[in-house]
Amino acid sequence: MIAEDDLLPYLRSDDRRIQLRALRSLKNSIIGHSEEKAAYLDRGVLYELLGIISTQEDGVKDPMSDECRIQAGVVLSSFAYSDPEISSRLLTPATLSTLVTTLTQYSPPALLLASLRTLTTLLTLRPTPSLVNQFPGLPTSMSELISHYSTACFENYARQDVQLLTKLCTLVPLISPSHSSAQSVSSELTSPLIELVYGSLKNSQTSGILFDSKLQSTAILALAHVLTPTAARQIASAGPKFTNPLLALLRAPDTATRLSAASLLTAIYTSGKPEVTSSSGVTRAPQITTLAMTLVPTLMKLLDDAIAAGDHGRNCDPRILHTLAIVCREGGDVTDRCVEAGLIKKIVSIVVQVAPNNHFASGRILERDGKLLSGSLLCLSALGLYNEDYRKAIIEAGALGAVVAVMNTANTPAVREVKIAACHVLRTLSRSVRLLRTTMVESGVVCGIVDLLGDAPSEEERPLLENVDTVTSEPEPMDDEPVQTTVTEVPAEEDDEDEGDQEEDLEVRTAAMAAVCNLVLDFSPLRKPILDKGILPLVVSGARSRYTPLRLNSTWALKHMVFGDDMDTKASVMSHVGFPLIMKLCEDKEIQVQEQALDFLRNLTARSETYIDMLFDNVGVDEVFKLVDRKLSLRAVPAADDSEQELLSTQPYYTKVIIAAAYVIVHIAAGDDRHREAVIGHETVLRKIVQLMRHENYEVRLACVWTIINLTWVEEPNRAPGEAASPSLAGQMSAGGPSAEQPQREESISSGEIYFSDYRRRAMTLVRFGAREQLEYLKQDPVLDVREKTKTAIYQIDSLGGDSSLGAEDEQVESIGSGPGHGVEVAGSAMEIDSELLP
Amino acid sequence: MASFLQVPATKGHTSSFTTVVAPGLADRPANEYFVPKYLASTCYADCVANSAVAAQLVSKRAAQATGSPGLSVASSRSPLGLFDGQTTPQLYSYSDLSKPSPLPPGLPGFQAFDLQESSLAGAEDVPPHLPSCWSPEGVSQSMEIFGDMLEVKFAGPPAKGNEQEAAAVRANHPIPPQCGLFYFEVEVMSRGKDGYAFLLPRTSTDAFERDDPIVNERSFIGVGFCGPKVQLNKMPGWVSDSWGYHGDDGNTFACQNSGKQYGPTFSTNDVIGCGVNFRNGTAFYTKNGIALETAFKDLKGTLYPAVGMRTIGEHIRANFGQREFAFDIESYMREEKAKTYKQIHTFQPPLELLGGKESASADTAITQSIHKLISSYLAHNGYVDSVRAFLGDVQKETNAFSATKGVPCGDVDTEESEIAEDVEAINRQKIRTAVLEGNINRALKLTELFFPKVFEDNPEILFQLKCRKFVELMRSCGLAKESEYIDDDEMQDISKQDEDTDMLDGETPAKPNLADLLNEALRYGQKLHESYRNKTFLSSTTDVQKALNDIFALMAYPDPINSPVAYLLAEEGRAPVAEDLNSAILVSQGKSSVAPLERLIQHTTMLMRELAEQGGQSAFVNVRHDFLAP
Repeated sequence: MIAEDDLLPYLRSDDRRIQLRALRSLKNSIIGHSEEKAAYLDRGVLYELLGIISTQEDGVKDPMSDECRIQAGVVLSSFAYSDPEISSRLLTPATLSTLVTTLTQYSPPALLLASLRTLTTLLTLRPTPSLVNQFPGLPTSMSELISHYSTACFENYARQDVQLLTKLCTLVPLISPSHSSAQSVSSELTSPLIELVYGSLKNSQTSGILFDSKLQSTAILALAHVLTPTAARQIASAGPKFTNPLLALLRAPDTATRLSAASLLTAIYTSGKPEVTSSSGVTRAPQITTLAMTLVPTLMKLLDDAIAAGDHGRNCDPRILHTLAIVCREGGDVTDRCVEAGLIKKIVSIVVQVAPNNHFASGRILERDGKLLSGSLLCLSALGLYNEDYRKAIIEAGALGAVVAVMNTANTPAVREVKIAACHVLRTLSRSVRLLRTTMVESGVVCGIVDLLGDAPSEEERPLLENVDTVTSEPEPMDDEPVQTTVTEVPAEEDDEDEGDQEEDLEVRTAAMAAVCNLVLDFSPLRKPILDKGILPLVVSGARSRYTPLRLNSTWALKHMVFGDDMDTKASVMSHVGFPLIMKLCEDKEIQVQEQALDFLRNLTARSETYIDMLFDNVGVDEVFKLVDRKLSLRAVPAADDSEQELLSTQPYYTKVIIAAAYVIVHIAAGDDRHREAVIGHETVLRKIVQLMRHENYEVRLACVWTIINLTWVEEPNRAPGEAASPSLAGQMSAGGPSAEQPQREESISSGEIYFSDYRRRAMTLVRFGAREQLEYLKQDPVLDVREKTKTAIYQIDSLGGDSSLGAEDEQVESIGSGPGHGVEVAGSAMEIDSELLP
Repeated sequence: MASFLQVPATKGHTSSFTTVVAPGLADRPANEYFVPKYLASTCYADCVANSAVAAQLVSKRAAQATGSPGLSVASSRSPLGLFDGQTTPQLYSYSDLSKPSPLPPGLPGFQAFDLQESSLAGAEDVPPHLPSCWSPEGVSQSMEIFGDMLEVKFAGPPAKGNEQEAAAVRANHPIPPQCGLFYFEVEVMSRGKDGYAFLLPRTSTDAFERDDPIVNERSFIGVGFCGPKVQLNKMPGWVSDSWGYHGDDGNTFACQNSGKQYGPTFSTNDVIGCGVNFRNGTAFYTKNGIALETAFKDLKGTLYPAVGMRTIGEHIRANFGQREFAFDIESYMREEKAKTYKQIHTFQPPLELLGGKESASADTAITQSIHKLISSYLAHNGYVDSVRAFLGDVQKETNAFSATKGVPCGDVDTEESEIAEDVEAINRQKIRTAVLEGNINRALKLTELFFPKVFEDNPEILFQLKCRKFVELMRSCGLAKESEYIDDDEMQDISKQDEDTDMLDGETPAKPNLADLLNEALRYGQKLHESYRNKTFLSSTTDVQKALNDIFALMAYPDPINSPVAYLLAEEGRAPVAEDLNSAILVSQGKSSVAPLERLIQHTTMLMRELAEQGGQSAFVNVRHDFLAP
């Protein structure tokens, strides 16, 4: 036995025997003794241990050296298994790097296990999303380890293998705490995890041997965490052999297993959702029924049990709520059943329990409560997504106060996720015009959001961060050395130019931007306060971001800002944005950004000749039409690595781009004569428009008909030419008369109507391109709106091309008047939010 | 589906329910016991399992008239020979007992009591059936019942008069309270002509986004239960002695026509579940797999599941456990069971009962009783080495305890009697082993030797053994035949053999001559016939002549192993004989034929059953399932 005081020098000994003995003594003296641990840490034992763990073998196999490394690893894990005060002192870059290195190199299993224990403990204490960026090889190593030990486990089922696998699976969500980081490790980790999960399911089914339920549930959770929609669809296509055993696990006696199965099934079922918008509307995938019938009851039961367990659900596993949030985003039956089971009230009561402001002062409660709170808020945002009544219920249950409190809380790393979730709730609630105009006005959400948007690491932001730090360090007056608080860590992260943490910030800004989107619509009373707070530069900078979700939401917000007839706002937006940026966004690599950018142009040009001129002047007429031409010709082309499924899921966005581009033309055609001339002058675009009248999506067809209506609309109805045929009569006529005859009739225009020659010419051009025939076809369109507008278009074309008397002008006025006003269709509908934001 | 319900065996069973058929009456579905999986651990399931075995035995005798004496006597003891091989070994591994191990793999004897009590009992002990489908009795003509009697459609014409008119159906059986919890689901296939779905007006003015349409769907269907005398022309809940949850307003009705706000409305595609809990006399509903709160309290009496309808086209399908439920009822059951056991565990028996005035001595008393129960059980079954090891351990523990605490401990003065008991137990064990090996000669000889009074006092057991010996002889013939593929041989040439064959101590020769074996068997059979031809046992139910006829039937078949009576030859038939002999020896030694531990279990089981008849907590206790399942 070595006397305790002398252990440190012995740890440094070159003699492995002495070192080993010292390590064993150390282990025995510290286990269960916090004071001892603290004392040793004070004397720098950490670096001795890390040194021993990272001992390199010089080609010679030295069992003694391995044993020392193992013992050092075990001692380190014992330090980690203590009060957070002590374990947080282990959180240094050197510790993480040493531990990760043991995973990436060949290490004895016992050392691996010890390292994994330490690592999972430390990362649970403080999530470090940058880990994967710092150690790019980590996912690959973990993938190999999981594969290796899975194989071993299925052969022998040794205890140590089970433990190792369990820890490896626990580590997976810890190294990828954010959505984006989870996606980034997905490619490496998905397939070994699928193997492991599938193996465990098969094992318990066929051999009847009960597979370690902890390992099974941890593995399933890990898989659910990293699963990308593509991978999920692959699993779904594998059919019932994978899903049936998972469904059976939903009724397993232990909670962890049920939750893990529910969360994986949720990932699988919600990914397969091809939200196809056909002419008949939205088709829901048949899996939705399964979701509603199996997952909702399971998750509601888990939640009820957690709430019944005491403390008003404070000890509820946050993953229950996260999973519920994903399930509820489906809308329809799924959401209805959750609400019917009282989910809104249950969640709001948890939120109100956990969210009181003062809790955000102390760092530790936060980590746990933070996850619970963010899960709860995400759930609320999902519940209100498609249903006004539910939004109302959320407000009535008293959630808004808590949300605003969260928004206005000082920023700490743990609050970040909660704030993202709070932004989602605001975005959901802002979908309600009524709420926008009433409750939300008084709630003081504006400051919180704008502050979040300004959260980017910029010069103005420094003081804010420092404030935060003083707040977080305050509640720990017991500590003599406030070294371990965030004060020292924040600058360190910035110095590292840590991409991962920046990405976390970007996620916050993305979420805040999503909340902004609806608040800046023209009928929102919050529009002015938000703009007054100087949000425009922040939005524009977001639109320039390389981070796609942020760029998308920022473009979205810009689109909403130019929605409506408020010319002042349009002007002030344009003074910040500039056409080069918009043009760039129109050609964005991400199809959804293109959609928003074109919608921006659509909104900008609506009812505004000024802005059509501005567009033409700045971009060039030909350039504008070239752009539109390209967009109208868009086809969803699968990238090399994308599956057909992937293509199917992006298809709707391509269609939406076409719709947006078509409406830009609609709006230009609604401008003055020069603008109409410009449209008629660009034949390729016109021909495309005529072609697209047979597009499968009714909105595309509708836009094309609108183009024709606007191009053939006569400014002064009382001087309009043509016969006074009623729409139905016109329809009959044109059914009999081939369009080729029409140019001849044109000659018979009476003298006083030279003015109309432009209109006639334009109409005839359209007829020449086949528009008249297409319109004839659209008379049978399944969608009422298309049929109605088609009648108007046919009437206008025919009256311009007709040679009959000028008898019944009044009637004509009436019939034109019955068309929707000025013949201008305004865009601005796209209020849906990007799904990337949810976990 | 005709596998016999073995309650412990349902653990890990994959099918969602098990059906027990009472043979002989199997053509009548009314006699088919049907126990859904969630009830597998209830007192009710135990009763059903038990009665199934009994019914099996009774009908076997009645229908086939070929039971062996071993079986007909043992039928009151153990039914093992009758079970299919699939379930039996899981439960009681008798084959392992031929080599006594320190710890018995199964718990022989525990199942015996049940049968003794109920096998020959009257109809009043047959457990009631569970509701399993709708009953056509007393149903209005407007109701159509079809689809395995699970689906009901309101076909019209609509009821005349006031809106209170309706039509209802109820299940084929009332809910037996001893099942503790009963649950069924009703899926609304169609809400009918007058049920409605309408789009609610939107409360917001916005038109700039896609919201889900807000649809409100209702149906005029009511789900609930009612008493036996309730007429089936009202919705469940609207009249006295009936309870219901209605789809048009989501209200519950308890014996009156004014409702109480309860849950959501329901309509087409919704699955409504209804659970009656006899632990606390409450009922609850579920909608689409999610539990709603408690609907009714203070329920008692005879209750039939019921469903009521009011408009043409309404169509429902019930699930009484035939299919997987939408609601996780098994989880609910686990929780209810846990509550019952929590209450049992928190119960503090009065100290006086435990023979102590203070809790410390009461604890000691309990521990000592438990030790006695264990050692007596082991001794009863002849596990001599185990008894020694066990007592040794107890002694050590007690010494250690008294050493540390300074508590004096007495009551270990039983060395002498224990040694005597040891010898006796060893002998009993030898005899048991012999029977289990099929070596009846040896068993007879050893019994004569060690316990000479047994056969005098109990001639029945001697008869039983002799019958078994004959069976064993036939068995070796059969086996020999099978192994040698010898053609049928008429048993004409009966050669002279040693008179005392049956007292020869030894196995049958390694390579027995089939003819010799047949001769021996035949001769022994004749002898047996001679001795017992005119005998009856006054004190017993054993029908000697019938028993003889049964076993002699073996000789009628050229290849008994593959004959209809082959079950008589099964090795499993030895265990009951061994059990009976063991008990007879114990009785002759002035001891109980059952170990105290077994008696304790028998007593507890019986008390539980008595209590469960009225429902209540004890329905959730299944002694066999909860304590004796491996």
